[in-house]
Amino acid sequence: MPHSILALSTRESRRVAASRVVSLQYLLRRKLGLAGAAILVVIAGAAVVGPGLIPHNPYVQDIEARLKPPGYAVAGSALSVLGTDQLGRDILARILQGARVSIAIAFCAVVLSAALGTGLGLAAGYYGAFLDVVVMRLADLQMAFPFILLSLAILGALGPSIVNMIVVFVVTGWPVYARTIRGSLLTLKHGTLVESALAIGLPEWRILSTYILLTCLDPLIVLASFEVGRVILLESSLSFLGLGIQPPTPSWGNMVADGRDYISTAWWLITFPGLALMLTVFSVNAVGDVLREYLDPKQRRS
Amino acid sequence: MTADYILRRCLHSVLLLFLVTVVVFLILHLVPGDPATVMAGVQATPHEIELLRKQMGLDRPLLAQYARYMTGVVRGDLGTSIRAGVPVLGYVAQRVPASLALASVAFVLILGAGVPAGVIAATRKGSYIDHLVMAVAVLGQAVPGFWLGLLMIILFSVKLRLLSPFGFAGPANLIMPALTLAFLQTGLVARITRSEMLGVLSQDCVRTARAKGLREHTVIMRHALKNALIPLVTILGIQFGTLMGSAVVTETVFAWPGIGSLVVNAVYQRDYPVVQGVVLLLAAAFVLLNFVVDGLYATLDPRVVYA
Repeated sequence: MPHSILALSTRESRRVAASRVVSLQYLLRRKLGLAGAAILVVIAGAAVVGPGLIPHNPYVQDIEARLKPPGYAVAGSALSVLGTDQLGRDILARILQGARVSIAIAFCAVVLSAALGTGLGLAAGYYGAFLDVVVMRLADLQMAFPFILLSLAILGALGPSIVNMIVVFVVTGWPVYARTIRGSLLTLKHGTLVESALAIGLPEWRILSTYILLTCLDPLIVLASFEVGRVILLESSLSFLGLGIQPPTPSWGNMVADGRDYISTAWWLITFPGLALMLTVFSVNAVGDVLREYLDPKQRRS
Repeated sequence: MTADYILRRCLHSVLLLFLVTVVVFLILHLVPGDPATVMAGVQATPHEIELLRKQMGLDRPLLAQYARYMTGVVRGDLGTSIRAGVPVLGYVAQRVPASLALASVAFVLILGAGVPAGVIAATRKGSYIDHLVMAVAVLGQAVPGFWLGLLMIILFSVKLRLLSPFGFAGPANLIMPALTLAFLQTGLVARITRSEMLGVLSQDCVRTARAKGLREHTVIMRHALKNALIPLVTILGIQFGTLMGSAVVTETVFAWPGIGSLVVNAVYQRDYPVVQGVVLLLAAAFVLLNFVVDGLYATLDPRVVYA
């Protein structure tokens, strides 16, 4: 609802003035962001090299070691730090394998939808007229559907697979980028920057790709960082509902779903994958918060 | 708010609703191969499949199918459930009260906890309470709803044996799903309230109110909060979709008999008319809600002029 924001511009300018003061809270949040970044590095590192370091294969079942609690080890075999699942597979090994899948999907989906949204937003904002109307109505349309519900319906029809999931995330994820870049583009379009670029005779595509895109890049980076967390949550929810990543491929969502049948006896099946998920999303958002404050001083005090 | 604006906003909503029906109609045609074969199941005879195809009009051209679908939608006929064999509209409608009950309780919790938390955080900016509220807010946005729900079941049903985990037997069954749903959104509401309050508290009207010698309580509640709540209305309107999305997952976790668990089961059973019906009804609800919210916004904030 962009029209309603214009009226609040006086308040907005006060915010900018207030933001100059670097508060205690800002420093604290930077610390939180730092912690988030550190956790992310650990998680990503564990996802990349972890499965090689752990003496368990995430796919190998062991009938004798079913549903063993955390810290389980029999003589002669390796320790299962986080216990084993209903098929005797090591939970830690599966969490690390799941991290690979989740992070890879989120990364692909966010990069692709950012690219699509940016392209459409640029085109809509710069060329305006008919294209603008079409793109923006499509973006409105996307907003009208509850995200999970639309993903469920599409995946239910197409059938669950990793490629289909990424397609759904891109199809439903591009409007935020398009809106953002279109918004900043509209203010830039008639400004001195574009005017002088036109005056020195630069072709339109150069203006769009270098001048405008580079100027609008900061909010896009912030947006993308929050989208990573959101997509990870969405992917895990869909996997939990059985329409995302399919067993035996582990994902945090389908591991929690598996644990439901053993909820009264084996709490660790549900607890640890969810914890990994929460920690990851929390870290991504903490980093996003710092990025936002760093790149956009207007937001520093909110 | 001018009549011209209302008219244009109306047209916009109608266009959006039309596009919604196109998308919902096309969902069925995303099914690879023949939707009738998929829907009829593995045990269906060729005759049964043919019958279903006829019944759904799948043997006709796409545009004719859409025209037929739209004619039905306008009359309130959203098709027939493949599994239950009853009209979709009634089938979905009987699940609405349970969803509505859950959503309203959650909504009360969200506002009842989120707004005061935001106000306290804003008036004591930088204090421990402020940090606590913000930490819970960030956490709430990172917690997967299905996991939170299951953790509650482990705690309250398995360990403490206080609440029964599933179904719709009595008001006590509402506690866990409503808390789950509320926790996910309360942080956001607290965060927005806090941010808006901080904006208003630095404004002249607040300084004037204080200079008049009003009590701090009156300044906060009468002057600041009223202004701060206005943007919250818009954000709650836009958040409706997210709330419905988390409701789908939460209802599934607790086997709550609302439209969320209905649609998930319909997806499992390939009952596409039911899936289409729920998606259509919720999207339409979103469009109408935001139409109302926009109007409400102009009434609440006289500065807003719709160009």
